Amino acid sequence: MKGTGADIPFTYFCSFSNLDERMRRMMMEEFAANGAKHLVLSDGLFKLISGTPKLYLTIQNEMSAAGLSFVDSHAPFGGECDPAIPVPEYRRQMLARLKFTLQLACDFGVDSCCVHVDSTVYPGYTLRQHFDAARRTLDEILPVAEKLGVVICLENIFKPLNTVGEVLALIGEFPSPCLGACFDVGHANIMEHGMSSPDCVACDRFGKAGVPVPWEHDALGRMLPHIVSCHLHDNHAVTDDHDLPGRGTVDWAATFARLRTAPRLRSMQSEVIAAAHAIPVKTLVGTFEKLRGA
Amino acid sequence: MVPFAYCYDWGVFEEKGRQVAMAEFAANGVKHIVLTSTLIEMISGNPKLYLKLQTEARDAGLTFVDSHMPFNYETDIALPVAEYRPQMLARMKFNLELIHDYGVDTCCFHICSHYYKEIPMARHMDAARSSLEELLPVAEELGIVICLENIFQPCNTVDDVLTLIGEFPSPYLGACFDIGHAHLMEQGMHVPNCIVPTHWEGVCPVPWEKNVLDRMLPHIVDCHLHDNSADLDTHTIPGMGTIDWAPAMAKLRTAPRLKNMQSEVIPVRRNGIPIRRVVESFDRLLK
Repeated sequence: MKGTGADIPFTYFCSFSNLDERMRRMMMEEFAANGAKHLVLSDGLFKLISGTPKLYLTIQNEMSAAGLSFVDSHAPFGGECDPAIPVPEYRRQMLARLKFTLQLACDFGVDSCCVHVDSTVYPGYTLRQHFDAARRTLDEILPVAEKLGVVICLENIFKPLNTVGEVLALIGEFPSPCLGACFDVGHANIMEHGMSSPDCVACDRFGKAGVPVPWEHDALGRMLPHIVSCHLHDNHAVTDDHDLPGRGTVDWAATFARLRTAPRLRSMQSEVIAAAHAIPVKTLVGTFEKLRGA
Repeated sequence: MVPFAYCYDWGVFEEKGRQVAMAEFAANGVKHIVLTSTLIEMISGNPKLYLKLQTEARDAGLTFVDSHMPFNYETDIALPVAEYRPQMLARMKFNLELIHDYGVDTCCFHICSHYYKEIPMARHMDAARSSLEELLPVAEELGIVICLENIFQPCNTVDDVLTLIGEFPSPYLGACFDIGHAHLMEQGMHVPNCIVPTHWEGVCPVPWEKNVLDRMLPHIVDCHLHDNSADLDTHTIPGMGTIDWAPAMAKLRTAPRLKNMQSEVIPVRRNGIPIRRVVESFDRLLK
């Protein structure tokens, strides 16, 4: 059920990319056994299905057998597949890939898809040229998303072209029920509190682009009216750890309380990378259930 | 002489092995390799490979000539299940863009790799027509010729291929002549344990074929060259099976629309044949 409050579907990211078929089914069963109802149709799963056509039906059947469903999704990013790619000769394949991704999301019963505005700054092109390219992409992709009923959710990241200001600028330029924001609490924590650490990952990413870090304030408050999906994970505002809530410096009680008031919110997502931190599924699900007051 | 390209089972290699195999082809005098269905699936599933594979081929001194659309598992143009068709069409449009970006102007398509026995053949063929209506304008815009391949399975006979080509007259629709598949459909009835009848069980009697090359000749744009003994689809090197190669090659060279030729020998997975032997076998044929 969609809406605000405790009934908002909660989904879990799981990195299936390196698992064989048996382990993939095992992980799905593990999540189900711990009370999870939904998983994320992740960028890794999109890549698997794109690269192995037989998985189009296999993964749907595996999820169904485990009693799970997909609720939200994450488009592949990086490697010449981001909306802001300014290189003319790479754009057509990017657009065709994005359209294919949205079609798969629709077929898998998913109605929101997180998209990175940009993962790579191309030498020889200004940031403005990248941003104009993102606009041209939305011109072409939004009608497809509207036809399929999938909301494109632009994510705030600690990189040029992905700041809250840029996400909100694009959403403002393309008023559509099928364009919204994906609020990433870990990335917001880095952009709000990373300035006290010289090793902060944001300094590196903006430094490589030759621009100062536009440190942010109250990302959640600014994005709140547009948030359709969210990525929940913790860090210490230095590196993008994607760790369990409580293992970093995010104020989780305040975050949850405000997130639940987001008028367009359709789903909440754990984007903890459990495998990277050897976190058991039981601990992962239990932690989020406590936070949600389930 | 049209360009000659080599297919290879790239899926068995990690990155380093792939680079070594490309260098091996180049060291044996090869200029062109095929953008195979496996490579297209790899690029589709791993966006980083989009530029990387182009760089690897260029570094080895190879270019891509000819391609093969991924097939099977809800990916063929004759897919008759309505709810699976939008993803199939979106996947094919995406793959045609990749093929264009790799500088390739021909793409072999299977009409139907997975035949749904509970659905009549006519509905499969209608689905194929509907797909071509949507995909041909994309191919025309990109300058890619869709080449329909003769196979020994329902909906892929020479008649089926020629019917569709006749219904969509376009310079961007032609035929891919597969000599190994033609051999199975022309000689398989005389060979015990021929694989063909198993593909037609529960559908109709096998429509054995004659003069496949002659019938397809005016429409052939690319071709798949590999040998077998009319029993299994072994994809082995010329001379290891029972195809009469000299007259076939002489005739193939007269095909008015022919753009390229392809070794579709599957060296690693099916035959364990070194690259050098594959290349030498075709060098002899092409002399």
